[in-house]
Amino acid sequence: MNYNQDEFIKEVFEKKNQINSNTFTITRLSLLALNSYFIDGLQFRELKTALKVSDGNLASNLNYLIKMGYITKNNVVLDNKKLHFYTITNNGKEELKKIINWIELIKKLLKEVNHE
Amino acid sequence: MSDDFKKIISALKYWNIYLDRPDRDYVSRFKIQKLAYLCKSMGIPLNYNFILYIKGPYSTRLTQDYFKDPQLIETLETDYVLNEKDLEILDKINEYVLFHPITNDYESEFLEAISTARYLKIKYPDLLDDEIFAKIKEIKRYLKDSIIVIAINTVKKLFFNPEFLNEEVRREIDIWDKAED
Repeated sequence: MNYNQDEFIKEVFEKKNQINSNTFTITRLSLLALNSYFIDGLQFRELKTALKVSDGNLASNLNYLIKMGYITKNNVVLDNKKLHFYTITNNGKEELKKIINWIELIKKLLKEVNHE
Repeated sequence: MSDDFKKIISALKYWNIYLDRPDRDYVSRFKIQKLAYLCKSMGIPLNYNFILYIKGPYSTRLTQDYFKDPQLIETLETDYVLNEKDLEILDKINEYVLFHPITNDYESEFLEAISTARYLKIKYPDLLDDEIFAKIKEIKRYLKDSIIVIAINTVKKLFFNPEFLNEEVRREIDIWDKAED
């Protein structure tokens, strides 16, 4: 392994510290990704159908992301029914970007190994 | 502003539907998406691609358009002139969808059900009505059975071609009419 590769590996695993590890679960990442795609906002019932998780599971994960400031909960009245919908914040977008960039680094690292 | 977005604004203006700015109002965004899909599926040329999964029918490019010029949905200012064929389509949507009595209480869910039923009819032309019903129920569990039945029935009326009205079709329409009652 040469100096550059050594530095690169160090960089990859130091960058993990920049990520909020509590966000790194399938459900939370899915919620951030879905809300980044559907910028209109997603209703609780739409998220539940998409992720196929229980109400409790979804609610606790959404609450965590709200607490971290990654998504916001909004109220809407549709056909006289009060519903909640969720949208991603700039902090949420940044956190997702950090995670994607970190995974990209791992991908790059493994690509180098496979080429050797 | 894209020509597609101009057409949507013209359609809303023709129907006299004044919505709040979509960048601030969820209901506006919801209605624009469903109505735009109905326009496209009935033959108004629009280059928006719609997907069904999760929020559908939903177009990300249409979303970008109304977030870029949200004030236009409020003012409905446009120089686009709809042609006769477009107007015929808008009249049909007005008569069968926007003026349907169900819209008094369930406008949003009806728009959601009808646009979904139409999407499925196009994607799976061989599906029977009860299979379309089951598929809608699977992806949008929260919609009431009665709304889905009425939506499927309305889709049939919207896209009905009088040339195909034979005895068998007449019998089936009667069955669905009774179910709607």
